[in-house]
Amino acid sequence: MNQVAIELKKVSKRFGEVVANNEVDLKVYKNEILSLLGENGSGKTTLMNMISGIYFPDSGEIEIDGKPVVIKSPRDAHNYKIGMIHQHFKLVDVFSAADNILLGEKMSEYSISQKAKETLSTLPEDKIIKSVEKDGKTSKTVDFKVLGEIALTYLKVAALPFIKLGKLIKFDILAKNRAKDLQEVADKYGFEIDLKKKIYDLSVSEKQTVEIIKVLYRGAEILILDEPTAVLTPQEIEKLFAVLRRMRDDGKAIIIITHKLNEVMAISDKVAVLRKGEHIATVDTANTNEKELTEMMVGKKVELNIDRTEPVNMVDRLVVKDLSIINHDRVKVLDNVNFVARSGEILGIAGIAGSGQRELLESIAGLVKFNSGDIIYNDPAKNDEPVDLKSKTPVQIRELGVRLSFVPEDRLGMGLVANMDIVDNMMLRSYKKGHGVFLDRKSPSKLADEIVHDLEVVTPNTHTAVRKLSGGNVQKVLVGREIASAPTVLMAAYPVRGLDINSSYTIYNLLNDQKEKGVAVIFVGEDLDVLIDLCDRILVLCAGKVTGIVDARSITKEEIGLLMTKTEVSEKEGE
Amino acid sequence: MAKVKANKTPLVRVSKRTDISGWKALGIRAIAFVAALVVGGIVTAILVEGNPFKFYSYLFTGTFGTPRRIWKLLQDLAMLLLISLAVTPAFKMRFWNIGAEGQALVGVLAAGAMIYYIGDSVPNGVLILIMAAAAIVAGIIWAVIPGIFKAYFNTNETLFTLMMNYVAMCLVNYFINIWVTSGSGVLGVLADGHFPVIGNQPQILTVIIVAVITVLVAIYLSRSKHGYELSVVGESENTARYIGINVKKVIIRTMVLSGALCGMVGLLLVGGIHYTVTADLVGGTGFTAILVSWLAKFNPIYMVATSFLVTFLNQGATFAADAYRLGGSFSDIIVGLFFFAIIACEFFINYKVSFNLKSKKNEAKKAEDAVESEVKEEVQG
Amino acid sequence: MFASILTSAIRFSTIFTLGSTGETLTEKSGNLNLGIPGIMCAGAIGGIIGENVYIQSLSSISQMTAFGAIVTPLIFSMIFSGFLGAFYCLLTVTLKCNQNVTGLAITTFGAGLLSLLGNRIDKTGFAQASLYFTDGMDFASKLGGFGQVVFSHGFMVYFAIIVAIIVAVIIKRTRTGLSLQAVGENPATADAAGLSVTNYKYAATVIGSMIAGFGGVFYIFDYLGGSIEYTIEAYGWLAIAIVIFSVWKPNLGIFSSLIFGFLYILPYYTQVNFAQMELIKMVPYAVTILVLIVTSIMNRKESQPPAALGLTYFREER
Repeated sequence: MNQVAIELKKVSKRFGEVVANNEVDLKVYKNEILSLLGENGSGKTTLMNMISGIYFPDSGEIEIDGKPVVIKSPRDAHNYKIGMIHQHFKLVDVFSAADNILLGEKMSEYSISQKAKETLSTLPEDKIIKSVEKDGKTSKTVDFKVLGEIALTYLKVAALPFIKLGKLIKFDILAKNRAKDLQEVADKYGFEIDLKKKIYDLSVSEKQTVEIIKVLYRGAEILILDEPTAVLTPQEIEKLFAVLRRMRDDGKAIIIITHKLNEVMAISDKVAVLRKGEHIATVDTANTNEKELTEMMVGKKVELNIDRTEPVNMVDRLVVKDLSIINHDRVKVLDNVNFVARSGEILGIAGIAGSGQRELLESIAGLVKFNSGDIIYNDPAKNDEPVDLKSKTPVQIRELGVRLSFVPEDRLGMGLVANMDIVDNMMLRSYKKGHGVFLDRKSPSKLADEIVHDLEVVTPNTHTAVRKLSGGNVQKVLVGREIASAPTVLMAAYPVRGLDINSSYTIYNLLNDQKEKGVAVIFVGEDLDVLIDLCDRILVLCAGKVTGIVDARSITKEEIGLLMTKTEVSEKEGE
Repeated sequence: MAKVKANKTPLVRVSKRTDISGWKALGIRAIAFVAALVVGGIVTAILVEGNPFKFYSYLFTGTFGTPRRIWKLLQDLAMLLLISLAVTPAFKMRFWNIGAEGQALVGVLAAGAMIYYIGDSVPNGVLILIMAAAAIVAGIIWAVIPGIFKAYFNTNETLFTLMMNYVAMCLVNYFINIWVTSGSGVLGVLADGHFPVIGNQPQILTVIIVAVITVLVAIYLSRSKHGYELSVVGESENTARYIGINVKKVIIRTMVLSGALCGMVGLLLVGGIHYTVTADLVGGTGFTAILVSWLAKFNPIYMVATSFLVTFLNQGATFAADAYRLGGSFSDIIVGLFFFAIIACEFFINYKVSFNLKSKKNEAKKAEDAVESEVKEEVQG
Repeated sequence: MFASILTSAIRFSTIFTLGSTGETLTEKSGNLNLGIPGIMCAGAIGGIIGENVYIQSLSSISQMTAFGAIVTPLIFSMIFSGFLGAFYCLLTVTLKCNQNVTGLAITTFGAGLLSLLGNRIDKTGFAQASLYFTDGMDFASKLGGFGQVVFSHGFMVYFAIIVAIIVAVIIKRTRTGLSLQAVGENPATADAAGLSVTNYKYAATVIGSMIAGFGGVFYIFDYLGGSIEYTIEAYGWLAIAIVIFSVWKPNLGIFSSLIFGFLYILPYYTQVNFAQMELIKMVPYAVTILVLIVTSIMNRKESQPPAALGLTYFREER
């Protein structure tokens, strides 16, 4: 039987009103890979951050090797041999991979008092003055051998601080061939990487390898990987899995956060499922299947009372053809995406975070250049005449008369200016209107009043900086502004993230109103219940590919869940 | 069993304030100002024997004692304010232009050069116009070069503009040495290009010009489309991208404005105040202006107050230094102390410091050990 | 002729070497300390006060010893410049104030301090004390031109070069240097690796300030032979230029300082008029700008300023 490496007992953590983890129990054994499975916002990362010392639990206990421990900082976690590989790598760009691994390494403990004790214990038992019998007389003489030994021992003790200093200096000096020694360790584990290379020259998967070596080098026995496959190609994932298996066989406990079911099945020995901050179950991978896991992950279908009308007068408003984007890391973030957004309907976009949703919306809005493909807008003002949006800037798109509104995911960092008041934020879209050099604050001010009134924004007045508003009110301001320009296409990315239930419904109703007005609405969401109840059709993205465009009225959560995780491996199995 | 304690809080906790009432912020600043004055008084008391309170009365008599001193105060205030206004648009855009000194200096040079080369051949009115054009163009050139490189290559603007100051200084000395053939290296008062004197007070024109520019810059920043764009760029480049602002264009345009205003400073220094050209005509005001603008939160109206405080302290302390025979640099120390106090007080305006002294006695030691690591844990959360 | 120019250049470059080494060390921790000119002034005034205290403590000037005349001003200089460096950190690291603004205020203050106190302090015996600073090796004159160039200088010239080399080695070859660079490049990563960003910033800035402060002492006691002049602030700004010019490498800083020193004294040795002299003085700044532009266009990661230079680090923000 394996030993328990780490055990969480009734660990809870809340952020303000939101309960991120509620009395979660979790056991991880040595020689075991555990998958932590759950939807976005189910509390996986928060839970792991409490093990790695980034957050501190509100209540509950953590035991390591059967002993209760308190982990208050990353350094504590390191002392308990816990290593976490975050989604956003913590590496210094201009350092070589080897230097990143060495960074922060401490010299092994060298206690002078302890060494002194050890040295003193070797003091000879013999007395310095010894009696010598000579010619029948006993005379006392000094035994120089013993004296010498004693003197030497004390000298050794006296030298200890200098030895420590010497060791410190020796440790501090970086050997020229430091990369070589590390390289040997890396090669032994089977990592294919040149540690002499600078981080900025490495690919994403190589950077991840550096993080893994760093954690291993520091002697971690418990490894946590936060969505390690999100940025990797299938081949790289295979390599990573091989490494993880080898480490498992080496006696390490490994926790891997993921929501890709096929990977869960491929790599893990056990699966722990979290849903809305609660631990649902831990099961042996061998005794479960993807369907069962999906059900545990998404839970029972929740009825939402969203008033969905049948779409009328549908026209192809926005046509996306063969859209592909390759990002700076040379990863294909969008791969041959084809779809049509129609007026008078809500098109939902489902997918695991980072599957290309952001790039898709930003390329439509003209913020991201795409490598190949076309985006065509059919202008209702000109009898649905097609307008090519390829390589157009946001300003050019507006000048073409395309009434496109975009509620970005990053509300305060992109959609709004946090330090400006509501009126000035209204102006973001309209300040260029008019020919004068001066701003017209009257109409934005009026608009701000209207939005505050109509959407019940809780704010002292319209001259309050938006950063002081609560999340829901910030979103009302943003969505209100985007709707105010009477768009024909409205794109919203995660518009209800972090919002309470009432604010969420306000947003759903606003989107529905727009749909009924004949706007083509594109809604990127994470809550599958909402997607199914709000949208007319749902497009599912998986790793930049469209894995399906389905009718929201007839699809089930599980089916979407499977499409969301349908990577090449499972595709082949399906064939 | 070491149970994990629930609400463990570190001894000192620093968190960002989101809202502080205007009065409270003003109060903190007032305390800082008074603290600087008290320290200044103590320093004076150490340096001179005699009544340290005399220092404070010198501060006032040195600035408001005679009409002449009041006019001097107004003129210095105007110049400091103008150069502070010049750096403000760039700072609002988070472009750390510390080259106002050099930008003003090339303005001085250009205006002086016009007097030197064509002063005899054109009427004074035309000359002043030409001087204005030359000074402004020179200021623009000096400011826009770092701007262009920042926009296109992200060249570090702080270091670039800093170096440009010294290039300007050498350039001024070069021309002075060309113009002055006697070898003294000092250019006397130039005969032409003097601004008209209004109402017998040569300072009035400067004060009026700066007052007008203050209002114009205030309007530009808060009411114009350009001003709005540069604030958006400064606050969040991502938002600027989102609404389609051309960030490069905004950076270059704003540096043109900054440079033009600095050129104005040079023009006023030559045509309205000193009527000559020296390398230290700007005299470090370009650096002081950065502090003045920053302390005023880049608001032109507040800037009137901050530049008044700095000018008041400077002139008052200079007067006190003369009275005590302490030498001209005494005022630098007093102004420096004032800056330290105000800079430090910004921390207490922007951050909230809370102390937790609740920990029980038997746990006190343990808590102390834990504080450091705990602060880390808390802040990382 | 050339030997004597070179000798002067090496001697004069010492103030730049010390100033730029101190500033490089500081900037490596991510602190763009624009207060360094003021701190060099503070180091100078500290040296002056220290020497004054030492001489006052003697019953007659003839009792002066080399040890006392050298060590006392250096210790006082370290106290003054170290204090200003620590104060800069208090404002920018602990109190998280804007680095540019704080640095400029420190420069105003430090320069003011030098000229305020510089005139008021009794400088009797300074000329004699400065001889201990300027004494070169005895055998220098026997070796002709070569000896003059290499061995005729006071000890601070060699001290500056050794300090620059030590700092270069620490930055490049030790874990301490690696950690320091990590703090300046990416404080969040250093933090996660268990390094104390605050401690590194304080240590680098205070030690850097002390090194730069020695530059002030050198200028007063070696170069000026115990008299006083207020141009140290200008050399401080040049030291900042040298940091850029040497792309944040103290070993290159030695040669950059030499080039700057050479250009600075060249006009005094050549048949140029005052105007041309100014043009030569302009060269160092112009070349620095060129280096800044070229490195930013080439965008080589190694020759960039530390990535977090000038930014205050607050863990709660990310």
